[in-house]
Amino acid sequence: MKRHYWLLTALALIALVWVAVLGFIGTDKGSFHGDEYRRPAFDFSLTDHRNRTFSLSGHPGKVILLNFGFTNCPDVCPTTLGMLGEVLDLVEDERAMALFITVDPERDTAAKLGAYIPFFHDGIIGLTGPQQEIKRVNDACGTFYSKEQETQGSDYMVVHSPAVYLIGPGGEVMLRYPKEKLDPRKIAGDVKRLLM
Amino acid sequence: MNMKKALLVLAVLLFAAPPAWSGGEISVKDPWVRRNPPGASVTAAYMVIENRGRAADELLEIGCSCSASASLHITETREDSMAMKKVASIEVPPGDSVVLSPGGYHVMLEGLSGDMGETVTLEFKFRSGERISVTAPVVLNPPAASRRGHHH
Repeated sequence: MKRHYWLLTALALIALVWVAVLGFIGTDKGSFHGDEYRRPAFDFSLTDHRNRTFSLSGHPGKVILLNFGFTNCPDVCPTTLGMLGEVLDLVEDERAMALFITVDPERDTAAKLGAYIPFFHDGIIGLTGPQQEIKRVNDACGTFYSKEQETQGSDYMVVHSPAVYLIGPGGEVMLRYPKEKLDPRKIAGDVKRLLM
Repeated sequence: MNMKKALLVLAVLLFAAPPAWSGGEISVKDPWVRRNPPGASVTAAYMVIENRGRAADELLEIGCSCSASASLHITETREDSMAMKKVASIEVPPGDSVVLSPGGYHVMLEGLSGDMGETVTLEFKFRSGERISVTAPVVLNPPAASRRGHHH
């Protein structure tokens, strides 16, 4: 009877140590808040909201947060842009950037983005350009967008990814933040870690 | 005699009261409108609609002093795409409330008439015949009260 008791205690202790070891390895590895999403490095060239050319390859060593949207989107796009502004304020590092790439270049000209983007944060860069180049960026991020006509009228909406993508210092898409992971503090934590 | 009078009063109350009571059954709480960035001709309004009544009600129409049109939408997020869908109405179950918040149900305001100012007036029309008018602040970020609502 007494021996059984000792055996159980020993087993419990072993289990406890095992859990602790696993936990330690887990934290040591320090997984990112964003979903790991390694995709090959790529480049693109678009026009920014100050009407200048912006190339990804012109910004090596930076950690870039990228989001797709359009100015005629009243609900989610402004929410995400506000969130990206918060991340930039939390990180406070010139090597961190946030890009908003329009999926509606027909309406979102550089001038329109020039009025719209700085409203959210001075550090966010709005980008527009030819459809095929915007599509290429979507492809590189493993996502897509498509124009959808409203049932009545000439107005249309653009279906697109709500996620934020993180491009690492090497120019590769490293992490993806789906809608439910758009937490500015946790994203800022990932960015800071990559800039360490 | 007194008893008869009392019964009469009660009967009158029972018949007359329901329309009067329904006045307090539906209420709109924590409304706010997102300040539209320069150049944007659309924005959204959010709020909590509470139904304290015993029957379901339905939000049919909304109007805003700030825009040419106001329509009910829901943002639908699938695995990797997000789209806004127009909805004809929003049902508010009895004894329950419906939250309109970023990423879900919202009122889409289109054709904004310039600067929105500090507040706008929102008008709601329900299937029960109820009409409610509220003043909503125009703000950049959700007020603290609706942030709490957002986290359920």
